[in-house]
Amino acid sequence: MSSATRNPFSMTCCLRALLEDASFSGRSLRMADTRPRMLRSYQQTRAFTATPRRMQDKAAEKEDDDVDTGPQTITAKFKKVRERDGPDADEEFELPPGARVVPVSASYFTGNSAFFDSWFTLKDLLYKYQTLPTILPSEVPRTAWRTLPDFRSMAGGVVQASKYKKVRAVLQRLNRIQPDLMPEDVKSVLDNYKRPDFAAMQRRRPKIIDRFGRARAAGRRKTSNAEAYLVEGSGGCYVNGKPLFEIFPRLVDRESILWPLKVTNRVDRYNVWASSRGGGISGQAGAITLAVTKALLTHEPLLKPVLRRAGVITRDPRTVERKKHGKRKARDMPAWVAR
Amino acid sequence: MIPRRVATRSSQPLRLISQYTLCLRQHRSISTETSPGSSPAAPRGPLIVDFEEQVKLAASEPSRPSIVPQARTQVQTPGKTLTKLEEYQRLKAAKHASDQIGGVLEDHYKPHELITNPPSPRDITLELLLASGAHLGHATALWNPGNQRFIFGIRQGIHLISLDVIAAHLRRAAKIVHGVSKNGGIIVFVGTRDGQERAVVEAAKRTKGFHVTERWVPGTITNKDQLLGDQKLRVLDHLDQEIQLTEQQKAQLKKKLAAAGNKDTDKLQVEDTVQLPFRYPAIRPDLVVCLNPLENKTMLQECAQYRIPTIGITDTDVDPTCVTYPIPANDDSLRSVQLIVGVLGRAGQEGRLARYEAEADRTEELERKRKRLEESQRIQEEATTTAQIHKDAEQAASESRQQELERESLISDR
Repeated sequence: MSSATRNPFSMTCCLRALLEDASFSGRSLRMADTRPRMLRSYQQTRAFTATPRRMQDKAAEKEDDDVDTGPQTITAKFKKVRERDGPDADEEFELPPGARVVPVSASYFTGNSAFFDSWFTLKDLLYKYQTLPTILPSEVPRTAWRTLPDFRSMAGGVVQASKYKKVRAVLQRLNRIQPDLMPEDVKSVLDNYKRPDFAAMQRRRPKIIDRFGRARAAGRRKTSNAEAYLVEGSGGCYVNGKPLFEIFPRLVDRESILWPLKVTNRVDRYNVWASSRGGGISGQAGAITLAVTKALLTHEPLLKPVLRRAGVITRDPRTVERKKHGKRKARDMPAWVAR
Repeated sequence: MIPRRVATRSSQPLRLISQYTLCLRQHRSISTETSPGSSPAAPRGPLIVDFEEQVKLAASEPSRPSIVPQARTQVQTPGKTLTKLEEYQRLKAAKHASDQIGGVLEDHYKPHELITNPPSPRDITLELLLASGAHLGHATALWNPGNQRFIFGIRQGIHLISLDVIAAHLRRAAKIVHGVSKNGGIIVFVGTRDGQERAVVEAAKRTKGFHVTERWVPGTITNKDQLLGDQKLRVLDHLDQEIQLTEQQKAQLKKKLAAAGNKDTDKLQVEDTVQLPFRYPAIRPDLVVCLNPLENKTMLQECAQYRIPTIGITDTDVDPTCVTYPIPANDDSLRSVQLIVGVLGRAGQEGRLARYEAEADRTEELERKRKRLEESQRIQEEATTTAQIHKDAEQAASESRQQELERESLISDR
């Protein structure tokens, strides 16, 4: 370890300090009147620490505050500054005799006691009830935990996402305790961490056909968004206010849009009015397909198995893969040259 | 590791069976203990039952009136299915009962016991240190020559630390923690390696101290007001209780607040306890215990800068002068680290309890002094009052005699 980190209390350092003190005692005596008065111990350790000179003086002054120091000492200067600030400032807080100031939280020195306190209360619960029987993760009722910003406002501190991930893992584990054996304290803590609007979130908006007989639905594919209105009619199809063939010159795209209607034999029974945004042509076509399917399901929910078999109910999750460093594209490596 | 040896139990099987049934019976009575307010359909009982205690209780009082009749009334019907809770409790009871059958395991290493019930500094033995592998150092190529005086020898390419040196240094460190804790100092346990978290937190809990289990934020000591300024502080007395304000002090404080410009004097709320003013400077530790000095150089440097004594586990590859009180020991084995931090935590706990005791003695002494003073005052007062009474009576007597004399003289004059 470097000399900067050497501890002034360690034996070798103390020895060296003694030696130094003995050899320079004459000089330090001569200099005694020029320096501000300070404790012996601080003078000794002074020679080899990384502490700035000013800070050492301050520490020393704090020690012999009650001793009558000269008028030019730092404490006196501070007092002057305080007096100048106003009448309230110089009124010092006095601790009652025998009292000591102690941090409230045991994680005070981490600098983020709010987070660590909640983390350790959770951990304590986990250790306490570790031996209780658990159920399989698949049997646990669906729960949504608070989001990170929500948790931050609850814990009242700066919490990294990785730390909250750990918290959520502990919550999941606690949530897996057999429901009949779930202790009350765990229950109350888990309720604290559950998302308050989860029940409302779970309730889905009912699918309705509006007073004009339209069913509205949205669909997505790649980076395209689409919205389709389906009305009972005679087989008209407009996308962004234009007929289908104007927007989609390729036959495949046009077929894909009408595919849900075609497999169910309902091409001439509904009119489609769609609008699409973003992405390219095939992406927009796929997005409209999904929207049309969903709208059709609103009209006739019994068609679901047929449409499932036709493969139009599932949202296609494939999107562009990100580019990585060291590669030209997502996976393409630059040419390798032999040397 | 101490080998597990299994000794056969020499007791009769009949006794065991009776014990088993006793456990089961006892256990059923536990499960029927319902909390008031819960419905009979869902029996609720304590989830964690200390069976040892229950069996002891049952053995000492075979016919406890409170539990046994309950057990009789709640006889399980064979067709009824058990609830999950009952099932679990029966399982535990059966396990507990059958654990006694067969052999007895001699003392062996239970990993959790170093955390839940660590040894006290008095229990440090060379055997314990050896068993926890505290003497194992690093490969000889990695050694720091500062450790020369702690090293016992080389074996299979690694340095071994002398067990007696470890014990001596550990005892010294424990004494320091004890002393600091006794004087109400602020002790911080720093262990930032994986797996040390729980031992560190438990030790801090024992001493009512503080812990750092993840990265030491540089500047926590040197730049404390910036980093720690917004966290809460409180004022405690020697018994670790918040100091209460008297009514008079509260009234005074209210007056002060009113003078400072608060308009609604009726609405002013004053806390019952002493509160620190806004922007009170942050706290620095009085002692830092570091389990991995190698990874916390910054912290040790900060401590050195502010003359905060440090205790550290110094393995054979660490410079022992980087901490004030080194404990030369293995800092890579969780078991040895848990042992050391557990011992220090216990020492802190003992110091804290010693402080409480001293405080109780002091208050007792004060009370006794006050009483003695009161008694002497009372005696003095009594003496003065009786003297006064005597004096008054004498005076009255002399006056009356005087009057009599005067009257007599008047009569004689006539």
